[in-house]
Amino acid sequence: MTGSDLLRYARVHRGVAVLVATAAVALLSAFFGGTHIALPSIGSGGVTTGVPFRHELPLLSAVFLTAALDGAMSAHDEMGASAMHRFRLKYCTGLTLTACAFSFATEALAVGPEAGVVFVRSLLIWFGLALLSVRLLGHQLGWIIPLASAFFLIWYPHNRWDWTSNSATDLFSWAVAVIALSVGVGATAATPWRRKAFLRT
Amino acid sequence: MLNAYRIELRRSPLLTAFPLMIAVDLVVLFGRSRYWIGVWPEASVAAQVVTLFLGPVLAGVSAWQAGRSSRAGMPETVLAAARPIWRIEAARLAATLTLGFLAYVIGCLTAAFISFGEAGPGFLWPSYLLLGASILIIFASVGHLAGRWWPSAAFTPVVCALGCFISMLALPFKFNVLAGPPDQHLRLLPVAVRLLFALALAALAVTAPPLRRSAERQMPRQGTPLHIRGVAIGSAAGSLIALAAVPAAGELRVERPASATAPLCERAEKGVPQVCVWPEHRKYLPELTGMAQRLGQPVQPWLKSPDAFHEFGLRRNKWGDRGFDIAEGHVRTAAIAMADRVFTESLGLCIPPRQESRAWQAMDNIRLWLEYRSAGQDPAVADEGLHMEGVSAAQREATKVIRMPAAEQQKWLAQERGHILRDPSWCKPDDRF
Repeated sequence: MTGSDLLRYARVHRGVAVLVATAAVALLSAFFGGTHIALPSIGSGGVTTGVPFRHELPLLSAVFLTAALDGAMSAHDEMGASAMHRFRLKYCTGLTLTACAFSFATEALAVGPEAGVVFVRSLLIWFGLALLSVRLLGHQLGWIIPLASAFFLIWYPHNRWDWTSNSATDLFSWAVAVIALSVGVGATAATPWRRKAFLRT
Repeated sequence: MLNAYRIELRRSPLLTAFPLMIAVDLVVLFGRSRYWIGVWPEASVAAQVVTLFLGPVLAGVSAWQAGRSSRAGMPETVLAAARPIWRIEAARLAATLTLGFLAYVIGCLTAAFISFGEAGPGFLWPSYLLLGASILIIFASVGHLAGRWWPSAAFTPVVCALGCFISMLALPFKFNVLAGPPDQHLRLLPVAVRLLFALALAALAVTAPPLRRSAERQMPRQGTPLHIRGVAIGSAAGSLIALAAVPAAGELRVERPASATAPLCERAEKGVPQVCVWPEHRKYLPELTGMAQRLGQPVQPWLKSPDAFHEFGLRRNKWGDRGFDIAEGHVRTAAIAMADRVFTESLGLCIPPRQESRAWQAMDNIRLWLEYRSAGQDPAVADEGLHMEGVSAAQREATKVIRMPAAEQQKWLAQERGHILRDPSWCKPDDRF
């Protein structure tokens, strides 16, 4: 398990594309994320009271991260031995951590550490939902459940559970993040053969 | 062509997602506010707001659909097809648009059906519906074009759905409206320009030549025929011109002239003020005439009501409009405006010096007392759910007074009036209107 192995693995698993895309989202958020959008739910006077659109951007990064699971060889990968799966786990974790770190850094520089923490928290929540979506609907449809959740956030904003506008220290939102992420990781781990083995016992 | 369209329709993922789109319809229509029910322009806007959420669905699915053949390893088959590419793409986009519009129409019909009972004669305003249609076409076409050029299932659909949504809301010029009060209407030219932009984008999405990928470069293939190339260039230029014309075409919503329709006027009984509203707001008329009736009942001889209260927009003049307003279905704003009218009618335009805080307080008190009087309810009920700022003292005082017997209220009123009229030069008759 050397560095060059990881590089080769990353090359065929969209490593560059995912990193570039998440970095582009982070930079977009840092430079232009403060632009307010008038959510349709806020009313006709919403132009001044709208929300900055950096609130919704982590969704893109989260869905991009799930693209690492897919690829031309994804069916082959599933047949790999356990070493292969450990490798995949390491690769995905590394990719997620890199994306989170980069997003946090750009947001913290552009706005402040508070905004960076909120961005990363939203990213983790949507990543969990995207992983769940990948398991339920297939590799190419990881965006369905995150987009559906964004609809509710936009149509019923400033609610208790609106994790995009809660403060960085809001425990409830962090609980949502932990739950969403563990559900997502659990869904990814629940491969067909594991489910079969689990149901048999 | 028709056959291909039918096949695309049958195989469209939107067919699976159709119940979901209907659910989006219903949640957007009924999930937040229901004051649009029974007011035709508001119902049309509510149906149009649905397209802001159906649009991203269409953009995502359209991008997914357009990239499907390339992802499934079919580009050679498509390139070798006996039909030109634009027909294949047109069938695909048409299928997506058909299902999207079906969901939109179902939303519109629901809004119309629910409104029929209260709204009286009339129907949904077509201008708002056309605006919604152009939003749907824009979303679907952008998604289709992006999906054809970058057929990635992981990146393109979500970028199209969320990106189009954000950019549509962040643009300085609007493609959508969020409220449809009857004193405003859409101008035809901006709507036509937006529709033109949408159609040009759709034509571009269908006729644009495919991007060449490295794997396809070795493949011999026929070039795009000249006339299709012309259509592609023409529609690209057309969409750019239309996009530039959108801000140039001016404001989407303008004031509706009072002469556009005859106002609906009614009074509760002889001798009390008349209330005139836009005919679209007829469902508020019983409540408003009740308010005018309570305000018109004589308490003291100096307390005078005007002959008629007009809704905002019916009587504009060069100093503005002092008609009452109905904000998002609440008649409380109307009560505020009516109380102010009665106050000015009785005492004139009062501007005491700034340091005379008691006089200012008395003005606030009388206005709030009039509001509560017009509401005809206990103040606790009338103020429920309101966030009034800066008038808490007046609110307490007026609440206390309105619960007292009539004789004591009269005494209080005379006393407050005395505070305002301590110097008669503070109040002048208002001759502007």
